[in-house]
Amino acid sequence: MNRTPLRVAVVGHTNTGKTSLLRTLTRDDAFGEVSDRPATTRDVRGVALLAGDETIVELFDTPGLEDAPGVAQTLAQQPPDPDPVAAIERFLAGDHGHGRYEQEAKVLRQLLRSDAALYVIDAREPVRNKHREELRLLAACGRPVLPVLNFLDSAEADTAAWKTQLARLGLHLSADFDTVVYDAQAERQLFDKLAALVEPRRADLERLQRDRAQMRAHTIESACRLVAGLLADAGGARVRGAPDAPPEALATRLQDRVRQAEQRCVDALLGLFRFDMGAHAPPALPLHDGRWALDPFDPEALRRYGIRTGSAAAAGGMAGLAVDSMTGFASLGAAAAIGAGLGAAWSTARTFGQPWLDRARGYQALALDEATLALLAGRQLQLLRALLRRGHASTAPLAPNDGGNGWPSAAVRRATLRLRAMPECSSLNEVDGSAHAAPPLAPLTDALLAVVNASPMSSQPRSVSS
Amino acid sequence: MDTLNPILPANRVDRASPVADRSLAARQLADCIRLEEETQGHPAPTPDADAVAIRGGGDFWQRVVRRAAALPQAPTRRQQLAALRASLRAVTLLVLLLAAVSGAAVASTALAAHRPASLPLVLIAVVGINLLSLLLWLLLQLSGWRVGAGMQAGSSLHRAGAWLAARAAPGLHLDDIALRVVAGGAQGRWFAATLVHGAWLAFALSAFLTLAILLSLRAYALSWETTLLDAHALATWADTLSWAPALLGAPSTSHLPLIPVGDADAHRGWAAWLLVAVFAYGVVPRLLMLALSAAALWRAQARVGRDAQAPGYARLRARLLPDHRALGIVDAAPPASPPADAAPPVASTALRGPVAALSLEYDGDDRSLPTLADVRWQWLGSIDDVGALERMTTALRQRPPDQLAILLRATATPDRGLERSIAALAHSVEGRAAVLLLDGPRLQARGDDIAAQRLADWRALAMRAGARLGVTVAPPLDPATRSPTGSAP
Repeated sequence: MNRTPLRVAVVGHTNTGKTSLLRTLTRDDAFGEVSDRPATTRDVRGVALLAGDETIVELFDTPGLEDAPGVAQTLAQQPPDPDPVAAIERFLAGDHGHGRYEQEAKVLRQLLRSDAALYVIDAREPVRNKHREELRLLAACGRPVLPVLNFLDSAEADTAAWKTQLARLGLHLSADFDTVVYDAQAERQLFDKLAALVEPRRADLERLQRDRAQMRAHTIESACRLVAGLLADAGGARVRGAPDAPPEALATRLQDRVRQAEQRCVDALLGLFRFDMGAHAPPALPLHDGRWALDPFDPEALRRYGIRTGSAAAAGGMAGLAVDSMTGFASLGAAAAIGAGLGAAWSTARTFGQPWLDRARGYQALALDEATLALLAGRQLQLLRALLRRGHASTAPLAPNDGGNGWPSAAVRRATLRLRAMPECSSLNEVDGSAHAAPPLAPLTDALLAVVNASPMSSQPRSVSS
Repeated sequence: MDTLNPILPANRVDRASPVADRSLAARQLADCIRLEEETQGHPAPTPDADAVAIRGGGDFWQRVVRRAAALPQAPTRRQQLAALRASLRAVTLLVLLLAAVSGAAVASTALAAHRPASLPLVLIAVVGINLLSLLLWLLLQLSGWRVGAGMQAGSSLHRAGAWLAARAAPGLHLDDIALRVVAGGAQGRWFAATLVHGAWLAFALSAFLTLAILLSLRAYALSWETTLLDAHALATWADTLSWAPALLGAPSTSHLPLIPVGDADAHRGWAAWLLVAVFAYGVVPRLLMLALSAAALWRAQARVGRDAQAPGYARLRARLLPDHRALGIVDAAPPASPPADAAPPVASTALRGPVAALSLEYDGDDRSLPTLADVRWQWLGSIDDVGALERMTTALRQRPPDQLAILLRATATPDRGLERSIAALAHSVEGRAAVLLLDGPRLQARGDDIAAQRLADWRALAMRAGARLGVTVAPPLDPATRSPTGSAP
């Protein structure tokens, strides 16, 4: 399918968030320039939205309309033309009011080259006559226009008034899309409504939507995997110290390792969602009262010990049986018994050898306690939710994150505690930063995913629109 | 790992080619790179390799493989992986060989240990443990599935492989990453299962062949012996054990005497039964399990380097298969004219005495006028369109007030349209106009920086428009109240 892409001009009054809309739609917080001032964008700049390799939509960021009434006056001074588009073309061919309306001319020219326009509205602003003039001017270009209401999350937004006024100008279809507070549902509706205006391109736009929805789902899954990895690392982290080492030093070592791992996870999450916010440093973990002296009778460790020892004994017994059979059972199964015993002993030594040896020699071993792990899980999930609701146009810092109360869910707790019994899967115990074995992260990832997908959007902390 | 899997065809294409390499070796390389980069926390910036991948086209996974192959560390990694695969292959061969030898040993010992050879004892020696361990393995699969009991086997295996590879190629400096890619996770688990089933299959086949050869070349007396059981129970056992051989088409043995003495036909019949039974109970179940495990291994290998959930891959997606592409500037702005307001803005003059007031783009009336000391307001009305503006300027020119205050919302954007209107109004009162910004607190609520910038913009605009009395905010902005950035308005 080698069709020309759908060309959409993003237009609107100055300083309504046109560039912000493009930043959020492209998930690119470096696109164009954004400020809360007029005429920040002075060029027409394009960006293509792709599905796979194919360009589906080309969006064009235009300078803001600043003086539509002035343009209307200039148009009125032209000889009358029954065709509104011809009148606009005549205006563009002229000197644009001695260059005074250069910016407006750029917008109109781009709209004539496009298939449709998104008219971005700052919903905090009241509807004025200049807005009506702008919409009349855009309508004269003969292209479908979809109003997009921005800054809806603000308390000052007056959506109802805007919709009434838009309807009076013949625009009965409009989209709600806050560029700062992201809502995947709103983005889908935006593309749906655009498709209603350019019906022949509906299939393309739906493909784009499917592609983007799939990408987002993958990203969320990856994010949960990252958090699960952090919890496996933190849960399995152990620090050992000589009997005379001060316990505070041990606790600090554990704290530092876990904090670095958390910072890496936060950075990776930001990178995954393509936010470049410099350093978002999570606050320190309250580890001083939260360290956990290693308990050799931790139920999870015992459970795992049972399974491991069972299989090791079975494997040893099997090997012994093979020896028995080679002697034609003259050994009467002795080899099998020895093998099973050896297997069980080996597994026991692997599980408890080091801890018991440590205890016997008076060494201290520390791991994270449950409350600290719960706090880590809660904090990462809260950050993840905040990122899911953050538009790429947002310039406000992330709200402080307290991690909520206790475990995000019982399933997360269960899966995390299970991973805590697997220190060999934690990369925090190795010098080179890679774990001996890949931790089985799937159950924890699924549990986290369930929490993220179940969280109601309305309960998200609102970030400030700058 | 297809090169190490005993039953899957080897397929090694390591070099870069115009067609994206989908082989397991190439995907293992990509997975190695991913784990390496995940350990670092982020994929390294590799513009050259990325460009190679994008030029190559194809879907995301093809690009991932291409990028990995183009990275500078790829040759070393490839060598490491090849060494590991070779050592695992060696482990496989060794295990198979040992199993085959012990199979032959078991079969010959069982036949020769005792004359006449006891049929049930030979059968138990040759297939009993095999079947028992198979059942145990199945039980472990069922019970230990969720907790990854197989991890144990996988990790032991991967240590054995690492040990061997380190001996074979000491210069390669193997790390855990290569091990995890080749023999970690589901792959390692199923490789271990395939190896175990393969070994038992080798054991059973070798025992079967040994039995066949020995029974063909030597004369053995075969019988169902018992001390405890009566003849009826023995017959029941013989019939029961004949169930599987009968399924494979072995002739019925019900006419054969259980304890043949000097009956060559009966011995031949029982020998054939023994061979079929060994095949049915020893070879066939292991063959089935081997096929299942190999299929699972194949599936696990098909997923290597294709894990959409893996953060390392997810972050590469934006680079290798971007969802948007900048088109650049398609209509450039004219070069910015030198700012006309080079002179510093005049200080705002305090309004006093009688002041005429009107509002621009603001539905005010005389009640919306702020209370200012020494000011007596005279309300002129609101202006929102060109016609009203023209009427107002005409009226102002006819009876110019001493001072004119133009009321605006402080949150409005100071655009050229407003500038033109303010200029027209200021001009009609010969410059004795002030811009009076209302709703200061709402502007301040958006942040102090924003409020300060906006105020500066308004001042510059008032200057350009020729409103010589400057800009006043009512109520005035309070620089002391700092609204914390980041909190909801």
